[in-house]
Amino acid sequence: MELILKIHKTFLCLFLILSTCYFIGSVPTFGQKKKDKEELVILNVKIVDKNENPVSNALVTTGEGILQVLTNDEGECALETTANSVLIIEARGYESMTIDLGQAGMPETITLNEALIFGSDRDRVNLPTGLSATRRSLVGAVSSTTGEELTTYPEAVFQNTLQGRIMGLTVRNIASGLGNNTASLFIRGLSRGGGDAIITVVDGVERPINFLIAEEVEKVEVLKDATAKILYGPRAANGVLLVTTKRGRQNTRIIKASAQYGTSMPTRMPGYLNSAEYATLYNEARMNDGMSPFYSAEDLDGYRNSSGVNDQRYPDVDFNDYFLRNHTPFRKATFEYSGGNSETQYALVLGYTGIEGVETISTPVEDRFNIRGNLDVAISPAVTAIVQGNAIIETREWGRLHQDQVFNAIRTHRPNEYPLLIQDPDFVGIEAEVGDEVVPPLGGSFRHPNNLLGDLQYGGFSEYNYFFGQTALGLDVDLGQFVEGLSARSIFSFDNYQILQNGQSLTPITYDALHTTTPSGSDTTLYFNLQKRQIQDRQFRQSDNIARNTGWTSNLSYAKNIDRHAFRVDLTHFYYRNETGQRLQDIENTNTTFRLTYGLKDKLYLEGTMAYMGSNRFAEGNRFDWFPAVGAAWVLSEESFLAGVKALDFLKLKASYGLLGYDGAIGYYLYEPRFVNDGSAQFGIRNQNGVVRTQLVVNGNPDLEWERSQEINLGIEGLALGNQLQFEFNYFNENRSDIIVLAQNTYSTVAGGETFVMPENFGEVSNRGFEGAVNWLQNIGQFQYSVGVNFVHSKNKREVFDEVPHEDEYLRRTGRASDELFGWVSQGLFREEGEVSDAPRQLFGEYGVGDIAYEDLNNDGLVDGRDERSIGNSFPRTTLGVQLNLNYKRFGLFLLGTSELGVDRFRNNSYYWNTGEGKYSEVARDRFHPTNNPGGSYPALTTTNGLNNFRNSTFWIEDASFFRLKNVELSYTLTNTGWLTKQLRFFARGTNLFVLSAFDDLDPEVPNAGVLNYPMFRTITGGVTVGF
Amino acid sequence: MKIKNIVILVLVLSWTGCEDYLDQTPGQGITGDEVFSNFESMRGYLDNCYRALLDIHSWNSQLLSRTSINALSDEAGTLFSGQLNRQINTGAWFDRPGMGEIGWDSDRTGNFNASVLDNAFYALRITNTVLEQVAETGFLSTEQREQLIGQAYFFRGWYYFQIILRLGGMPIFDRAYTSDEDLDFERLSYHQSHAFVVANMDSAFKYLPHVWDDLQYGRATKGAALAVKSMAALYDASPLMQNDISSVEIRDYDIERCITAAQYANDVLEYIAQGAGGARYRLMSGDEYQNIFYHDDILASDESIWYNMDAGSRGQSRGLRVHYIPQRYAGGSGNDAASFNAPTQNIVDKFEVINGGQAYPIDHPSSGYDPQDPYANRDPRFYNNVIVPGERWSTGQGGTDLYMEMYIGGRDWTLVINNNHTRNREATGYVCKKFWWEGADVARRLYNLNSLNTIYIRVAQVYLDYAEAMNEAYGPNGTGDGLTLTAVDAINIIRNRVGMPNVLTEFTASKEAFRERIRNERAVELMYENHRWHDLRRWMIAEQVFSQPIRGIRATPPAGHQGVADKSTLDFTYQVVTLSTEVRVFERRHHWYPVPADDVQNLLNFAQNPGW
Repeated sequence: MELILKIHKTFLCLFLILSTCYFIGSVPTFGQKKKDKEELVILNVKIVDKNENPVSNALVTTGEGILQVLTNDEGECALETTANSVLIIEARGYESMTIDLGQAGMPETITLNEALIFGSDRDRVNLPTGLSATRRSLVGAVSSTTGEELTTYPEAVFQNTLQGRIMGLTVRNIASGLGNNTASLFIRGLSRGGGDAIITVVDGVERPINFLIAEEVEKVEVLKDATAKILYGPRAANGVLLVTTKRGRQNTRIIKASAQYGTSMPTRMPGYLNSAEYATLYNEARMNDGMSPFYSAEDLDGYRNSSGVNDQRYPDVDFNDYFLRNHTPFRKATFEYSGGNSETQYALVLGYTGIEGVETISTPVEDRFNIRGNLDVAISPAVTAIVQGNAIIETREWGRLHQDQVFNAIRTHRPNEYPLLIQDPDFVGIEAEVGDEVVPPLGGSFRHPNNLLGDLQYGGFSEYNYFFGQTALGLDVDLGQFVEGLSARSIFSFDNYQILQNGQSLTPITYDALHTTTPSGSDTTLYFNLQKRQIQDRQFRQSDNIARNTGWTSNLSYAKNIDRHAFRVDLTHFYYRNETGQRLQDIENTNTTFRLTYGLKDKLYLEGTMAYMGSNRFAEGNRFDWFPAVGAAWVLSEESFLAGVKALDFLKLKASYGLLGYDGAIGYYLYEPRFVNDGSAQFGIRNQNGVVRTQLVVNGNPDLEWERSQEINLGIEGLALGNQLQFEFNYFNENRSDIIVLAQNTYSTVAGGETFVMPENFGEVSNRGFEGAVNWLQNIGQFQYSVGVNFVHSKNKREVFDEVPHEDEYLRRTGRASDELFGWVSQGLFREEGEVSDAPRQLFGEYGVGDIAYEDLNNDGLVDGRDERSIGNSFPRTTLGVQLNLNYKRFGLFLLGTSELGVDRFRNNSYYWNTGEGKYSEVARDRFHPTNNPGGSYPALTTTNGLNNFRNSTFWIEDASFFRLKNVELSYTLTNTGWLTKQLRFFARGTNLFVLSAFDDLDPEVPNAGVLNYPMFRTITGGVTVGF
Repeated sequence: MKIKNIVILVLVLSWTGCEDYLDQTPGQGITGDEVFSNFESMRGYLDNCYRALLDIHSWNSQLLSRTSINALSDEAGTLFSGQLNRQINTGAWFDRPGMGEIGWDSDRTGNFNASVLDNAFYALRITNTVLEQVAETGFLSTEQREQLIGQAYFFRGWYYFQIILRLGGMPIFDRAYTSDEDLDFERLSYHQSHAFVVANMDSAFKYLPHVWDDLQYGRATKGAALAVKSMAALYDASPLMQNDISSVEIRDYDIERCITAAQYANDVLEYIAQGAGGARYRLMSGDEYQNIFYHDDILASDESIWYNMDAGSRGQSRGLRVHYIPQRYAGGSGNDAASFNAPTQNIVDKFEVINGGQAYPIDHPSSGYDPQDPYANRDPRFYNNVIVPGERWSTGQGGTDLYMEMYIGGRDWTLVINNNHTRNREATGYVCKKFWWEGADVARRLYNLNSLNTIYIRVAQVYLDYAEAMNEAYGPNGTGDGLTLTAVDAINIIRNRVGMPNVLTEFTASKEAFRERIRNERAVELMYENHRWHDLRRWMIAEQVFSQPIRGIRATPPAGHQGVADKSTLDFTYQVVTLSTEVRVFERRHHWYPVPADDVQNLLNFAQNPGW
């Protein structure tokens, strides 16, 4: 029933969108001719070059931008269109051509003019601050994907759609609950060894991307080398992900609506033991610790015959089963409307995304609406106004508990912790009423006085409201009337981010039942009141946050071609400021760049940039500094010595070098000693006289300078075998120096504790590696396929690191990769008493038979902090994406596989480490016990913290390399199906279909998924896209 | 034309101000120059030394979670499963950041619950900075100047003493070092380091006032400086401190240093007797005994010479509940109500039995001690300090008497063994009331009825220090140059004021025999005051003491005990048991704490302590 309602809701949404489309579609549109009633005709056309050779793989677009076909090997294609529509023909190596059929009639052959490969407007690569380069002239390393490609991945968080898509980008998922599980993004590995986060830029301004929907995105680019990043200034050195949203295109009018509905299902979930098994093993743990069993034989029998969650004496609660469901709906609907003529281009994208949580009670619900409008209007022949607006409205409703709190309860509340409800007829307690609701008495325990059922069902609620507004206004001015080739552009942007959390927090009453014997010898139950009743009479604001971005970007450009020499000069200036509530210091920086590019005969390109960067993180005098970047590209395939190689269509070598400043990971106000008057010392009668204390916050250093990033990129890219094989490889070598560190380990604490140390330009990390992408595309009759792979391999090294100069080389972090995991070397479990006494003494805590034996690395007869060494690494040495695209007639199949290689993880969350009074997961079954389970491979159970066993060692590490079938889309496309729709596309999509890894019980990428927070989901959706 | 103007305006605007907009005045905090150009903020900076003082009654003193520091020694057992009993007591001390007493932490430095060693190094730097700044500034009045440097010298001596008594001899830290200086210090001997403590206390004595006015009451005084110097001198004379930094061997007292210690202690006693400048220290009477430790509405008890008054800001209720109050009295269900620190049988056995006007150790043939009536006729301080099974303690809301049911089948006992916070530990069977007054419980909630300071030195301790030094220097009944009070006299003063008879003469015949009684007296008088642990170390008897198990009492009431209203009338059967969960691993090397591994490796000349 619930499901039907949800579907109903989706269709209602779709209906609304469709009717809007119809309304818009039926009125004369801005900048667009009113069309006569259109009749479909079949156009068979052949595309040839000037030598009458067929052009294959040419993209022919019609239907006002909606319908697209590729030509076959004979250069032919057939398309249904109308007599007065416009054809746009694009092919690699040729200039684009636009043909108005209303004027040109129905051509049978179309001749394209040859163009420079990767040199046309379609091959524009967006760079920061409004600059761009053609892919041919680009001297640096920039890789991209399109929003269109990302739509195949149904997901509420934009970052998560990016895994495996772009060369050089590593996307690592996390478990953080509904809509909060924003994957971490890395570009070319870890360039600093801590604080490696990249920045995300949307339409020229640093902005969050998690709320974006793929349908509003035109292109996602990743800026990787110095010449590209330097333009974005002080925060760019770790890499920049540049998102460009859709803008209207001339001579198109796209009206497109899409709706999909599906289900997300948990993939791997941790399993926990039931009450009977728990109690049995807990007794074993007590006895291992030399204590008497806690549960009597009668108790164990009681648990075995438990009547379930409300068994008063012997409860057995399967929290996963009771509180979680195994499917949750996914809903999404989008509407896109864009187009334009030579004066005006517009784009409007609307989106709705709805997801739900897995809790059966107080199920969290998240609904998001995206609205984006981009408009470019010519005010006068020389002046174009740019207006961009974006609004995101999201509401999240859930119970009082956040998802991590729910999972925390699930993984810590033992199955026999408490009966969910107290149903004892003799119970004497308070009947609680919360509002209109009568709350039954609830179970609880001293360790967990809260009851998950009570907290979810009677605990109140919380509600988040997000309102994000992003605006940009600007002018583009052609100053050609004054100086030929001169133009200017200015854009001001202003963003507002508001988050408000309201809620009502109620505490239901819980009781612990103590079963004892009365003086007369009969059994009785005493109820110990654990939680008092607390009721808030209304909802309260629980948190809020406001953030604001302001900034502007200005360009002054001059371009001039003299014979075979092309010059271009760009002077750019931008200012960016981010104010976030509670943050100590605003992020504020500026960058002024002077960029000179030179092209010779379209085959040699040189580029040089000087940047004057400014940041408020330094003392006056050090706030501004100069940084350079230079690059060159040489199109080898234009040279005569390669002219004979027919198979090679294009080959380019490129190299760039730059020195960038970085302020993105520097603490606030580190540039001066800073004190606060905070707290007091108490004197006088009963300490009533509080005398204000003055505390040193940081022993600031006025001489701090910019962190520096020195980067080299060497690359080769090309096209071969008739434009079917495309490839690019890059080698990169980065050195990050002057990293600002409070070098506490380098200086002795005996000289005065931490305040003694000043922040310094201290650390140094080098990072090098290579990346590559290869793509093969082929048409065989009606069958087209492409297969592509992209990868990045990187490893960094700490050149200078704040650490104690350990005598034992294996203890040192310097000279090693920053992601190396340190731990002890396990020699398996002690299985006999003799082994324990013969082994070196282990100094972590009590141990004996059944506990982990460690290697004594320094042979001093003791196993302690001096016996740790590197035993793995936490960041993948290689990340990989593999894509396969198959099209046969109307059918399409897309497959995306992603992989991390050369990465390790500790099995060290509470699922793997069962200690003390914690819950036992199913791994506890395999515990070692000399008689009960002598073959066991898990350490002997204990009721202590198990300090000997539960520490990072090779016992717990596992190779977490994985291959995941990340995304599949199967589609069926109908074109020109009727008077209303030009295109109808049905699709089924799937995510996270399977994963292969040696880490095979929980998710290898996110072992905490399902333990600390939501599990990894497999989502299957179906839907339809309609083009009008 | 109009558009053109707008265009030009926009273009020009977007290029302006490029050099200026990062130059905002930072609005956060105050700079160093401002701090040291003002008396109040200089004092405010120095006052961090008060905040950093150890507070043993705090719920998380020294990051030991809910375990009392006294559970390091044989005085207390704890029901809280934490780092103290799980790690520190297992002897695994090497490289233990975040391990309270024996280790380090750096994220709470400067707060009352941080590691005492971290706080000490932190405070040394503050005192050195203040002393350097005072020397450079000219705007302070003489009184302000003396206040600042008097307290700075005092804290430099005090915190330096806290370091050396745990780690052994140290370099002299008399400057606020900067990181570009050569910091490769060499460690000095304990005696050389001790001289630095004495020098600082002498300077402090010169500048500190006898008393502070009522508003500033609680700051260090001349008396405090004298008392710290005396206590430090006794440490300097003790067996452990006769080792150089490369050895830990069992040694004897240094007689010359004992004479000095006795003289310093005598100075304190004379200073107290004079009452100079209105100082009103005194040995409080037996009737007031409990109010030495907590008291209503006075500044500090007259017996307190050096104490942490700031401890009042710790949240007294939580500290009381965590350390001393069993769950049924504390109410609630969480950790704060479930983890108290209770006296062991080991300390209980140290309270003598009074029989026929004489007081005997319990194992003395004439003591008349009956293991099945163990709490009869004990040292009055026993009844002040310890609640025994079935004892009436406090009254409920309706005025009904409450009884401590820490016996098998009793309600307090049942809670301990069922509560899954505590069921993996073993209760001692006793409860400590030395710092817990009636009414401080869930029924009457009088948690803030009294002030509870952490006292470092009180008058009784000075007598005990004096007696220990005199006994070693001149024997039990000897007197020395200007020292007219004998060791026996000093001990009897402490005993007599609570109604205890003089020490049996059979114990005062030899230095060795009387040494045992002095040590017993010290354990009894200073129980739970964070002395026992350090005493065991400096006497070098810890290995021997910890070779004996930590024990507790199991009281079994007769059948039908639930029906008896007055639990104190129950005829219990007592059994002394070994507490298997109270482990104490102590080897020779544990006498000195390990120097943090980082420091040893950073500083080439900085030696690690033997055995680490």
